[in-house]
Amino acid sequence: PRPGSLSLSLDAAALEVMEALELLQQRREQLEQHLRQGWLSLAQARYSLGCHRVSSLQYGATMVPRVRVCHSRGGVTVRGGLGGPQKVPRLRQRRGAPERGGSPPRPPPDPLSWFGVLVPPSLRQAQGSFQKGSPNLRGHDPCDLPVPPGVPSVPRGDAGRGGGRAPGHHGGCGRPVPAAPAAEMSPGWGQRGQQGQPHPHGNSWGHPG
Amino acid sequence: MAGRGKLIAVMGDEDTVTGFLLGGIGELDKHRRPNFLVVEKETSLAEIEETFRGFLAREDVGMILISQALAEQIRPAVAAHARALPAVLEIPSKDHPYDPARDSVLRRARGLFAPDELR
Repeated sequence: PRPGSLSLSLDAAALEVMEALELLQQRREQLEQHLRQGWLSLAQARYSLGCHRVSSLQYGATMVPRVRVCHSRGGVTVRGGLGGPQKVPRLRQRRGAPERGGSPPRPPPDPLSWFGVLVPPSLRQAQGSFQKGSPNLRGHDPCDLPVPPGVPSVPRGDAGRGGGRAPGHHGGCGRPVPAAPAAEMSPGWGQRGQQGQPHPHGNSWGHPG
Repeated sequence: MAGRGKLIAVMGDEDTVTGFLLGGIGELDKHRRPNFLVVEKETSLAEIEETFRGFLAREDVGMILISQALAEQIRPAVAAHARALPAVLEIPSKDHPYDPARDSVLRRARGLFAPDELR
């Protein structure tokens, strides 16, 4: 073995850790902004709908995840997907066996529907914030999951709406409204990052996604 | 279920969990345990810790989002987790801002360079 090659490896590994930490820091800041916006929007939705209309009491009796996380050697990606080929189900006029190969799986229902048919824009915005927070990445990914064309795209640039409430506005339910964030929305943190790589010398360390 | 990706679990206050569920991470099925926990004042420490350990043990959970305030309450269990997966991410809550000094992952990373800090 070349003298010094171990040192070089260690240096390279240390740099990798540093870069990963820096990336993590950036992602975390973005996440925090999305969270704040989301909490604010939820408070507004509660104001619109009433306290008890936006709570865990409304959760669906069953839930199918629309977002999952995939790990690979290249990093971690969080991808959204509706879990199957998206064909428009055809009306079958005749009785009898289901079509060959089974009927296409139905896409998971939108959790927004737990809160009613007509939901206030603030609730929809809250959903948008948390979708950006739990990244929804399209495009190539290591998971063998097709991206159906019907996957709702997370609207970007909607930073202006929903942040208009004056700080200190009371939601009316005993829950304080977080101060309106000043920052604009940043893009979701769904890019493949350096995280997830075990230390080359075999020590694994708990890493954030 | 291979190739579909793993679940993201979340533990936090009602607003945090509601938000992430709106975002689409939730799984609730009568045959399986839910991948989320809404923690309220009445929630016992034992339940928090048991839920966390349960998520760690599940093969199908790839990431755990946990409010740092909660992680603090069960810090030994969080700090003991040294595997790469599931990834544990401590997040702020409305009432408790994120403090990097308390984050187990960051402490471990610092420990790579300053072993004295790694307890």
